[in-house]
Amino acid sequence: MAAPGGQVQAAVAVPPGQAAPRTDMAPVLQQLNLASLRTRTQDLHNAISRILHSFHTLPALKWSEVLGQFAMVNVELLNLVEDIKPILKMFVVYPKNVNAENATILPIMLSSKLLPEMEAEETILKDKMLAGIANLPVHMQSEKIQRQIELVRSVCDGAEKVLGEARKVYGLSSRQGPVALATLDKQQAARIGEQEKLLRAASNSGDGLRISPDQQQAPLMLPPHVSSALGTSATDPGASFQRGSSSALPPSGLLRPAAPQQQTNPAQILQRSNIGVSMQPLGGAGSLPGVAAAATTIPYVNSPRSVAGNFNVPSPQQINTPSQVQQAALLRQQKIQQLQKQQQQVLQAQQQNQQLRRPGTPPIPQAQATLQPQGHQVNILQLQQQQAKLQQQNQLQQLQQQQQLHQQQQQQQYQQAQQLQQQNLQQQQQSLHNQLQNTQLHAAQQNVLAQGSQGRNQLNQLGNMNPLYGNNQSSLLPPTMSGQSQTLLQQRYLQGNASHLYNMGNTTGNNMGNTMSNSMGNNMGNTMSNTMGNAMGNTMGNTLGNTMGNTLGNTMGNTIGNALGNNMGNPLVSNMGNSLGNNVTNAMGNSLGNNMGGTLGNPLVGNMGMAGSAAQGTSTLALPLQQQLAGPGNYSGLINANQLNAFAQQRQQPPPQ
Amino acid sequence: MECVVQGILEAKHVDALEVLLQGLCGGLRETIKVHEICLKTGPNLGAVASEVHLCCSLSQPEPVWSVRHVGGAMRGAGAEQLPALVRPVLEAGISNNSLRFMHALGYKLDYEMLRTGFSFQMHKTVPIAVTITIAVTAIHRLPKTHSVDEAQPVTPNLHMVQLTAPASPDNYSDVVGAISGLAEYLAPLVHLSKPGVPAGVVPTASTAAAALISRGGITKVL
Repeated sequence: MAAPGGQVQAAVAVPPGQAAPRTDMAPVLQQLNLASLRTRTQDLHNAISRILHSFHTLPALKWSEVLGQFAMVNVELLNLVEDIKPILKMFVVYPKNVNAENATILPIMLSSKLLPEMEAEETILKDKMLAGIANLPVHMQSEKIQRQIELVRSVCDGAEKVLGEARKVYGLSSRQGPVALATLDKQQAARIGEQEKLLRAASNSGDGLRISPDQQQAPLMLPPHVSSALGTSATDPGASFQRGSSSALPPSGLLRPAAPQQQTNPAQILQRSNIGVSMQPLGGAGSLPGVAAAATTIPYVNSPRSVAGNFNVPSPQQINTPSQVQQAALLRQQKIQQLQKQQQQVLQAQQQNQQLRRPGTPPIPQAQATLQPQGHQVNILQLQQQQAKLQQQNQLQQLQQQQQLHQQQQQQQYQQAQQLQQQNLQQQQQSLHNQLQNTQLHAAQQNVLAQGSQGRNQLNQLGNMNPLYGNNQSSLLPPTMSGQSQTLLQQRYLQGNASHLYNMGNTTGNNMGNTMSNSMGNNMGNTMSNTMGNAMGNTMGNTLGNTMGNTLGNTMGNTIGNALGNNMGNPLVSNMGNSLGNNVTNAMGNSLGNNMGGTLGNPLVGNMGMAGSAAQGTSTLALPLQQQLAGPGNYSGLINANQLNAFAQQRQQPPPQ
Repeated sequence: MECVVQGILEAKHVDALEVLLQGLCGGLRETIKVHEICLKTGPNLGAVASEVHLCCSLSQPEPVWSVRHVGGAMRGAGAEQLPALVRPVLEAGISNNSLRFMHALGYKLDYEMLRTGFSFQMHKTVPIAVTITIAVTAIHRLPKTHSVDEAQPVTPNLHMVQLTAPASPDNYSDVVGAISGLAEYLAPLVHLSKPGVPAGVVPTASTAAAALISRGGITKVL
């Protein structure tokens, strides 16, 4: 549209025109972020030009990407316009050349005023259009222009139709995705439909896959998985099958052919496998030619029978013979007796010799606690591994009981130890099955591991386990249970070097990398935590091996002070005490445990993790397990003046040499 | 119990579906090569015929056998409205003497097939935490009994797409919702429906397949 006569000064804020803020209205100034607007419009302009460039250059464009980018650009544009709108009111078009004639139409002209570039384009277009017919009269011009318009309109309609069809084909007409218009011709669709029915029927119900009996052909070579499935040994199952007289499944069908497996006569296999299909009773054992009941056994896949070494393990539910039951009872009694003897000895030793031990000193000969038979140690460890958690919980409960009794005499402690053992036995019977099979242990480990009430518990359990495991376990018990004396065990222990001692302590807390000792240690820790470190303390003066188990069981009633005092001399024990004794010593207000365990305590404490955690509960023994494990411990209740005195007295005694 | 939907896909679009599934499911593709032997009890064993599927997976070096019993589909007005089929399924691993064992029990060979293909697993958390298995397989018939090497495809140009998910009686509706959600992702390529209901192919599958496989395209400029 031609510009009006006057110049209009349009301070348009729309870029790319330059605009300057013409108002200083404060609240609107904040919206006047012309710089950012300019930047955004510039970016948008660049983006559009990039897209256009890519349209021209890139050959393979997808509608989805194009539309996506269009959407982006559109959104940007809309945002820009939205942001400009509040600013526009700050700008005014101020017509300058207003006179009488254009005053009325000025608004219309202003509203339809084009940008200068647009005006220039329009003039150029107009000139092009009217170039050929400028000289003609006006009506001629208008006719020609009309014809041109019609032409263009028809072209546009045609283009729109093509676009619509393309849109339908490519599914762009709706936002929900492709419209399932059948662009497939009917024949193709029908063909596909039939095939679909075939496929679905075959997959779901097997239609079309069944072969009639007369059309069945035996393959020349069976695939390996099938031949192994059909050609396995017939001795055991064959015998069992032959027992029942089944006409539908002749026993001969299960007999292995004499030929090697891969060369199994497919016909025979086929007959066997097609028993149902052919319904041919194959009669007696000798009906199939070439069938011989050879004796080779082919291991099954995924079958428990195929695991070697399982053949001699009777079922856990079996108690094979009454003699074994009696044996088990006898052994159990023996174990209990030995454990009682050990406990008595430990109690005596505790009374006689409550001395500190130096690190590295050999175990005191006076400590006569019976060591566990070596044979048990393996089992003990194994059993303990599995029972760690059970024991911990159990022992925590026991700890609560023990805490009430810790002021009582040693005889009461002894009884409590026995109760512990019994409870452990009852709980551990079933889960210790597998461990009993491993009877090989290090001598050193055995020395180390032969300690603790856990050991005794294990013994009892072993005795109980005997009837369950028949012959397998019988070898464990007799040489270990019956013959060995305490002195023998003790000697063995004495022969151990200091590392054993440390290992002793370590087993309670630490392992020599031995899981069994870990379990031992855990168990030890549990028991120790049960005994509130009393056992720990008591075992200090005694050989670790001798006293650990015994003291663990026996020292339940010992005062904490005693335990601590005993622990003083022996770093190991102190470490052991750390597990228990962290809390115990802390409870006593004594940092002995901490100090002693300073060097050795870390591994112990670490391993005694269970013990440690359990031991941490020593101060909170009366509390539930969670509280015991979690709470920092309230040690005030544990401290007793008498215990402190006793502790001091014990501390003064020099360690025996 | 399991929820299952099936669909068919033209063989030429299987690669595109694999690309799509790889993008959706994270890329752990498992090859399927299963020799499925379907056994059925004869008339002399009980009033109702019992059917059992022995599946031997041959994709690993060692064949792995499993037994599978498929129960009847859930019935009722509610079940009919569900977009997926819900049916009880029992599956267990077994040793390789199972075939003889089943024969000894009285099961007879009904039919057998070989399924080859691949599968993906997708872990969905909405609306329920469930792992959906998407299996794309070609079904082959065995002209000679147990002759896996001479298998011939039943429909050379069509593959079966099956989505299965484990369900329990109290959450199967959510599992069905999860399956239908996943089915929407696969809609450009394959129409999924209940196993007995034919669904046809997707007419524009070729376009979608081309889009999935094509390498060209401009990067986003904004």
